[in-house]
Amino acid sequence: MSKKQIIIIVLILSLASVILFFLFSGNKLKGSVVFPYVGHQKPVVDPHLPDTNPLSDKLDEVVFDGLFNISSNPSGIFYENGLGSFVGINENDVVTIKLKPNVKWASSFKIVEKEGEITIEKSAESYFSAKDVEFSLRRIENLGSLSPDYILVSQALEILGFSGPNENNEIKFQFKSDRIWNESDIKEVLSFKIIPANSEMNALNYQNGTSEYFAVNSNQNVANYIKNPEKTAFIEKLILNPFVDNSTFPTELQSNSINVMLETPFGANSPILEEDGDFFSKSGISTTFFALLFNTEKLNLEQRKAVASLIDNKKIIERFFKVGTQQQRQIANIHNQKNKFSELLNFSIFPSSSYYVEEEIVVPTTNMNETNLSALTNSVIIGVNLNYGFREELNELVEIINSKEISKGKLRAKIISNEQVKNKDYDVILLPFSGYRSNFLFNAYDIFLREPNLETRKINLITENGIILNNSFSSKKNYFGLDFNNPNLDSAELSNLLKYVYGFMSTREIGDKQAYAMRIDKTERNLVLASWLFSLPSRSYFSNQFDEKTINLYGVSSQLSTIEKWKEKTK
Amino acid sequence: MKKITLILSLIIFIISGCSAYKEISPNPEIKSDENGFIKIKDEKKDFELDKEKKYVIEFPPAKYDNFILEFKSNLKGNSDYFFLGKFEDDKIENPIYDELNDNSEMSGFSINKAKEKYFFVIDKIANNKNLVAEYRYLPNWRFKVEESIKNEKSQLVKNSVDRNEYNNLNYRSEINIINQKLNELQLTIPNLQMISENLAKTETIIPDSMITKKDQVYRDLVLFSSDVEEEFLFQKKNLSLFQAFVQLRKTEGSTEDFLKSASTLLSFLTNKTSIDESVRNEIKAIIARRINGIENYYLKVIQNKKDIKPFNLLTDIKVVFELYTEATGSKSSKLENLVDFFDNWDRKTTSFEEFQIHEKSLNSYLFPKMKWMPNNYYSGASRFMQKMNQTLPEIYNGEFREFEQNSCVINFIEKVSEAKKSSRKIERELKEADILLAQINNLAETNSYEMMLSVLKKHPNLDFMKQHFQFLDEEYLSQKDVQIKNYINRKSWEKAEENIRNLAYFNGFINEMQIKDKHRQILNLNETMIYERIKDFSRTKIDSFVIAHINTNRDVDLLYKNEVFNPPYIFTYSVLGEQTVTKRNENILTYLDQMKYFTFPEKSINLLYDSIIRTSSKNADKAKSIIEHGKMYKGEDKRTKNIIDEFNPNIAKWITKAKDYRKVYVVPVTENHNGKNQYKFRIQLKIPSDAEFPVYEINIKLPEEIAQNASNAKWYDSMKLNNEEILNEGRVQIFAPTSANDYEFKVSPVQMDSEGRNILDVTFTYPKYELFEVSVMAQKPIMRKN
Repeated sequence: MSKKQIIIIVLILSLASVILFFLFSGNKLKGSVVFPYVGHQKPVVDPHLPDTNPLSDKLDEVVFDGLFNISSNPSGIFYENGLGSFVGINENDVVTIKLKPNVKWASSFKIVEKEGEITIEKSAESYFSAKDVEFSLRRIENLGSLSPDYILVSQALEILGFSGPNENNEIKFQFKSDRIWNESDIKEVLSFKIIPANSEMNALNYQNGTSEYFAVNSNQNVANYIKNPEKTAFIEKLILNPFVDNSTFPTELQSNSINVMLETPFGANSPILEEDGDFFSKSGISTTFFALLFNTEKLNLEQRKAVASLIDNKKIIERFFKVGTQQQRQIANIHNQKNKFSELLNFSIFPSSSYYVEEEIVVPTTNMNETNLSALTNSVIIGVNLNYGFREELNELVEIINSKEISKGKLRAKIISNEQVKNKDYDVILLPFSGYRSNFLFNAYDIFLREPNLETRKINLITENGIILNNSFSSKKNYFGLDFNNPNLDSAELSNLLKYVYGFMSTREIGDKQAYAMRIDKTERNLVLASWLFSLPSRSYFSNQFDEKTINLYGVSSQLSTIEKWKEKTK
Repeated sequence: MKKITLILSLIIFIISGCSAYKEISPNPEIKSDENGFIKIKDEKKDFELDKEKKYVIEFPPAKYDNFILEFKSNLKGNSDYFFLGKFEDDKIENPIYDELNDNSEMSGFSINKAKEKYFFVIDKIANNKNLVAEYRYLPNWRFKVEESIKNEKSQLVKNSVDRNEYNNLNYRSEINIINQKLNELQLTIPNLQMISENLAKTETIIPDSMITKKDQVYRDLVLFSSDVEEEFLFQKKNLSLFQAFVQLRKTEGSTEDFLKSASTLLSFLTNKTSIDESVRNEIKAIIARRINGIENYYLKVIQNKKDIKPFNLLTDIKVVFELYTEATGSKSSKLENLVDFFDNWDRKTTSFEEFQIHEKSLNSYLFPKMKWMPNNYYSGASRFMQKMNQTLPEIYNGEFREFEQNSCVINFIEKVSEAKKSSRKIERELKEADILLAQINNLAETNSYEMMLSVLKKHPNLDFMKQHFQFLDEEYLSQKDVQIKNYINRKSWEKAEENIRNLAYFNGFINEMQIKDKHRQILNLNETMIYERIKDFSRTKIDSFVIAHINTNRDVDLLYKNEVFNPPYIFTYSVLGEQTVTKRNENILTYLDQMKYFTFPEKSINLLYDSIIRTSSKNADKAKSIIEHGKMYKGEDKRTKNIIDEFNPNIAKWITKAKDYRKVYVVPVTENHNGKNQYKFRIQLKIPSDAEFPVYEINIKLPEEIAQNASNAKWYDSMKLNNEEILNEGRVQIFAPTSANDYEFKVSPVQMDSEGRNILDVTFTYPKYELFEVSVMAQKPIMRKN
């Protein structure tokens, strides 16, 4: 082999290497949907309970089926057959559902990941049956008002159960007779996710489903997902990519480390992603709001009033989005209207985007009382933890709050650890509430009964015979220090608040829901428990790797329910 | 033989014995000489007449023609006799008339010389008697004169008066007797006059030769005539005297009556031969007393006179003046002045009356019956002017002397002066009118009444002309009336109204007062007419239009732009004022508006709707037509309004009852008959609810053709709630229509409130132009997880 031949061979190999590099390096996410998540906030999948981590609720749709699954097309949502198919409803409102046969649980397959390679092997087959439906209903019933499914199902069924199955594998539900149950409604009621009957009633994480993807446990205790070989999804994998915080999400998307970003920092349009045509985006309804919750153990009513009157959320939001500056963050609402900052301002526990405010059931007052700074003898410490999401936004807010214009020298935002949070080592805590719903099922438990721990979501709801007990308000078990022994709180008002929160969350009647919403709002304002700052806009970005036409997004928690329809672009 | 002889003798006897009249043959025989009466005797004896017999006497004819046989006998009155010119076979034929057909013994028969004989036939005698008769032949004239004298003598006897009685009467005799005698005289005097006249006539029949010869009968006539004249004069004299007596007696105490009899009294006094001087002097003295101071009476008459007519005194003052002079024997200068005054006054006032008559004639002339006069008509009035100038009395200063201060005189002078001025004025005006008339006639050729009136208006002084041409007022009115009516008939409303307005403001009438009622009447009639015509015209047009287009289902919006919906004309003027203008316009417009906003849309809408229902039509044109009609409809008919609302895509369809499906029509909002169209429907909840914040979900079943591709492409273009686009991201969910759910889509939740917010607006595009039906139902929603 001559030297010349050697040089030619080397050149050919080099060229081939370059071609192969470009061919394969550009396609490293091919066949995968890759989401980012904040490393500290590991998504937890429980199809019957909401989670503060938005990704958790979205993953429910990936893993689990209901008897019917929500889907969408360009004309709206609809329910398609999941583990059941609709047979009919008779004049007595008995709904017959035929259960889908031969549906295997994920546990019927053995998923092995070895050196990055995932293989699916058959294991002991476990089939879906009516028992799984029964178990799931029982769990939902047990969860009661903690589970949105409970509210949904109990509107239709007096008894959370069914008869059957019969020889045709049909089960029958006795629906209530107070309305016309059309097919869509029936399917929605029966769209609760079904977990296998052999599941734990109160597991931390549920992964054994029948839906499009199977969970693949990773080293970081966060699952990735692989396509169910017996299903029809087009994308092979669903990968969750951890990052320290959300600040780098846009660059990671740009650099093709991820290809879907369901939330952007500040909810704002990302300048770097909008510049070129490699991405498509969509604005959604707000799902996150920031609030300053007052620790009533440290602040008496006058002080809370003083702090509340001191907080000017309009000024804060303007600084937050750098309104009127060259660095102004550009936002868009669901109607694609630009920079409507004021519509993000909240003046109630119910965000302005929520049904209750939009329909003026709750009419928040926007007039602040005059600030009585004399009640504030010392600086009010506002605790802020940056490790559980929204680091960028919280950092910005710390800076804003500590500015003299906002603090008036009386407020001091301070970074605190989750331990300090647990110990309620703050006068006021700045928290993001993510994943809130703007529909009827706004979650008040997340606000009033969540234990002060950012790492896990735990709701301190203690009931007996359908009555909430006073110890649901326990100073250590909510961010406000709500407790009937708290001298800084009017116990009558507190009692009302507890009753109203429970009523609001547990009622199946819309009228009651509205009334309780009004009362919660009023009582909270009497007690002055928080400053409801503002909501974040919502904007998601997708890589052009995907065919935009196949991605019909709707709702908040169900963004991934149509993931089986997502397709990559064909060249 | 004896017998034959006997019979013949008898026949002869019978024949001879049949002549019934026995002839009387006087002796001496009768002769026709004119020798006076000759007795008819049988020698010296009278003939005896047997009452059983009949007689005949033959008379020879006259020697001359025109003679009379006068026959005097005792037969008249008790016998039947005849004088015949021919008497044969005892036949009494053509008896000669008795000229003296009276009761006297005399008879007179006209005879002449031509006949051979005349026969006096006595046909019947009442008694046996002797014939006492005589005859004479005399000429006819003598016979008549004698008879006349004989007759008038008897009249004179009857009409003669007892002179002693008359002569014994005087002024102081009993008035009754005087009156009686006066009456008697008033009867006899005319008779005497008649006798005198008869005698004068009788004299004319006496041949001149007999007069010359002074024939006896002529002399008798003259003598008798003088007797008659004497009696006549006597009676006449006494008549005057008695009249004077009566007049004076009767007029005692009354100047007027006295003056009335002045003429009588004067004639009495001046007839000096008729009465004794003493009597006359007595009468004269009485009259002198009575007439003394008569001037004052006349002064009073003048003072009391108010008019300027001639006096027409009962008695000519000249007679009075003569009576005065005759009675008093002297002249009264005062009375003489009065005579002059009255004479002058009567003369001038009579002349002035003539002037006035001429003036009246002129006035009549100035107002001829004919409408149009020749150009020289007014110059033809010069003859009247001439006469007026001739008769207009000239009054000189001081002419009426001491009588000038009397009101009648003052008045008269004034009137004459005025007449003079007036006369001069009319003379001038006639010249002016003469020129003007030519202009008028010239304008008349073109019926330029307005110009004529205008010309006349410039000559306000020509009253006679203005009065005459007053008819121009009516002519002008009639002309304008016709003009306006023509405009109305030609539907030239604006011109018609303009003419009405001009006519209303026209002030050029000659006699505004007289014409004003008709003026107003014509204006009112024409105003009413134009109003009624426009009203009828517009109504007829719009009624026809409505009938013609009631089923039209294309371009309905253009129908409403049709001019029939606008008043053919908008009134800007009325004689009756602004309110009437407004009212009339409103009345016309009210009907048009009634048709435009009520009747037409209501009928059309219901017909179109019924058609859609009957045929289950998908004809979008019909639906669009209902919408277009609905845009105009202002009525309150519930069905109609409901139909409009049902088809109007901009009107939200109410859902008033939960859980009930109701039909909603979906009409294209665009109108592309051959391609894509946009559709829209709106739903609003109006369900009775006690809830403070009632909330529902809305379910809508779509036609398959609309929703069949909803899985592949969004079936709707926009879906809004409260004008906000609904997105599944928000608090509201939209459910897609699929074949699985029978193409029913759902929007939930939808808040219901009384302020009409939260209307669900849906728009979609469909490649055809059709009318669709969707079925809508609302019910309480369930709280949804997503």
